[in-house]
Amino acid sequence: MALLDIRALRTGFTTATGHVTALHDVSLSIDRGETLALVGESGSGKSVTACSILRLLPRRVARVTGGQILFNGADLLALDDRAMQGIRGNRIAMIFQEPMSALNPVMRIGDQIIEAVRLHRRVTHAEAHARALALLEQVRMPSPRERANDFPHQLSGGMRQRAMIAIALACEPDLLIADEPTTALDVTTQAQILALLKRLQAETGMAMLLITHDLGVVAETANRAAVMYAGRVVEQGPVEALLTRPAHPYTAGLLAALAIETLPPGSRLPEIPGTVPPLSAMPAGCAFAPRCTHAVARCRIEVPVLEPAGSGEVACHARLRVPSPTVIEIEEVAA
Amino acid sequence: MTEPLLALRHVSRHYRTQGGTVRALDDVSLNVAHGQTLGLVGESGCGKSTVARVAMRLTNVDAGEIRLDGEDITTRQGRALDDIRPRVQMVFQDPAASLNPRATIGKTLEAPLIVHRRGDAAARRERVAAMLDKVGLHRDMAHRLPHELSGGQRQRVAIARALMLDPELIVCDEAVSALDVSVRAQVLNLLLDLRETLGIAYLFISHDLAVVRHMSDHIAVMYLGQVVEQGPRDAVWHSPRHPYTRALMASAPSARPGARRLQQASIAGELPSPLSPPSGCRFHTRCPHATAQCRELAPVFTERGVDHWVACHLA
Repeated sequence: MALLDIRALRTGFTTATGHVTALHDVSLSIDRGETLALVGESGSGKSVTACSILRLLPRRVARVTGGQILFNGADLLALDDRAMQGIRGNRIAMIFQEPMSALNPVMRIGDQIIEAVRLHRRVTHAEAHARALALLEQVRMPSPRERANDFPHQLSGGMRQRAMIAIALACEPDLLIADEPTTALDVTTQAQILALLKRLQAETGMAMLLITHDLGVVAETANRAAVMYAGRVVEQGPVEALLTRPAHPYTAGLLAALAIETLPPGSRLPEIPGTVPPLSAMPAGCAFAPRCTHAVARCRIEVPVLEPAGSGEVACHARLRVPSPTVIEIEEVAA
Repeated sequence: MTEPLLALRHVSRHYRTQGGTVRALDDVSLNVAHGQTLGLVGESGCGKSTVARVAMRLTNVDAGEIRLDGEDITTRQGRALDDIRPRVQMVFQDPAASLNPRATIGKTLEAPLIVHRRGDAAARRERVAAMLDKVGLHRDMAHRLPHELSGGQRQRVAIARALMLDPELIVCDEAVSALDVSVRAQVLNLLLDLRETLGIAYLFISHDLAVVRHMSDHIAVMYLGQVVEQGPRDAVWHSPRHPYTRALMASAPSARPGARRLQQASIAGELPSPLSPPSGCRFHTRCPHATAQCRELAPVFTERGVDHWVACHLA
């Protein structure tokens, strides 16, 4: 049994101009200890998926209208609020892109970790304090004792992200949802945090849902990847296969953008024409069809569903059979 | 040798704050040649954006000089800057923040022409329409407001605005960093086309090495307010000599399967505070090769290859 099994999840929003559907029958699964990368551009539904799992969407405007989210076999959507609180931050933890806005600005780092521990565990303050220091050491926070007494604004971006990871790990979760955890960081800090997440995963055996728009990050960290476009999973499979033999033209387009690493400087870059359609004005048929150079008549009429293809799945009427030439040739940057 | 279009000579810019003096730029020298692109890379807080502000004459400098086409513009103030502004324009990172949300695209594009008294109303309208064509937007966009456009379209508008006065140099400060990858290529291609057809020079500032390599003829790498390496693109890209440049390159994740090399690549430690930069070489606290000399003596910027300059005792 998969640790997390999302089946045909549908999430919608009520806006000033009417109801829009943000997720269309999203199905994903994550095994214990595995890392699944959720890839896509702004507005593709990555974060809505994550927030649907943890039931963090604002109730006033957002609603899950269909599907199941099975965690260890139990449907999270059927839990009452109290039971959900027992899962959130305990069995499933989450870290966010912007640690400065996710951390409490007027609470010391150590106290924020202690709070997370004591919310779910019956331990004394002293025990929780010891646990907080151990966690700060585990995430390789420099001078952990001193930093525990600091407020978030006194830390660098990288240290803040380490603090947030320490809070997430407080109850040894089975699943960590990381929503663009390194996007706001500089590359050298990003490399440190990615290496840290990998090491922690090896130590604890937790599974990870890694949300990112960066295929480089996917290649570095994930076992499998799911590509989202306009609220749908359009392709998923093992990372190696997805990056070398993409079957969906959108995946291939994202990969082609990486050609910037290898093309002669100043030469024309491959583009995906147009832009992502707004949720309120989705085209009929495949949402990518208006930007797709492979689109056939059927693409504009009928929404393609995920079907097995190679070692993964793809939702496309005009799937690619030729391996993408752009990725295989990427040269190694001089180290 | 001909004069560079833009030259910074030993420029320093210090900001006095409550916590002490931030040495945002310390003895920085850079050249942008006519019709060429200088790529400037570095991490947050290294001084990239201060270079942009200095180049735009949006801030004064504490030492050094700024030359535009050989002419010293370091101390120009007020109206004396009027004949410089049209020649040097800027594109910012976030077009949602740099465009007036209440002005139509047409008004925004027309504004520079009005300020600099170019043409009558009819001529200005025609120029706006022609510029929208040039950046690949429909002429009807002139009647729209920024929030009605996508991120990529807004950045095209920001580029069009920078072009309205036929500048010789455009300073692009993280101009594609806020864009999704599928749109990023469109905007980079537009910038390349404009350089080709109009002969514009760019000071192209980015934290993304791959983008800088693609766009630039020369590359300069900054760390904590100083340029640590500078040279022709291929020299810096293929044989980087400063340990920081090498660390930057090794830290960027690549999507090539099998190219997993994070553990061995990344540099340790935190960026020191620009309030109290380390003694000697500023990189020595994080440099795997640092020696006693590096801790005490600041390295001199030295030519180590043809026009390839490095500030490192060990290069």
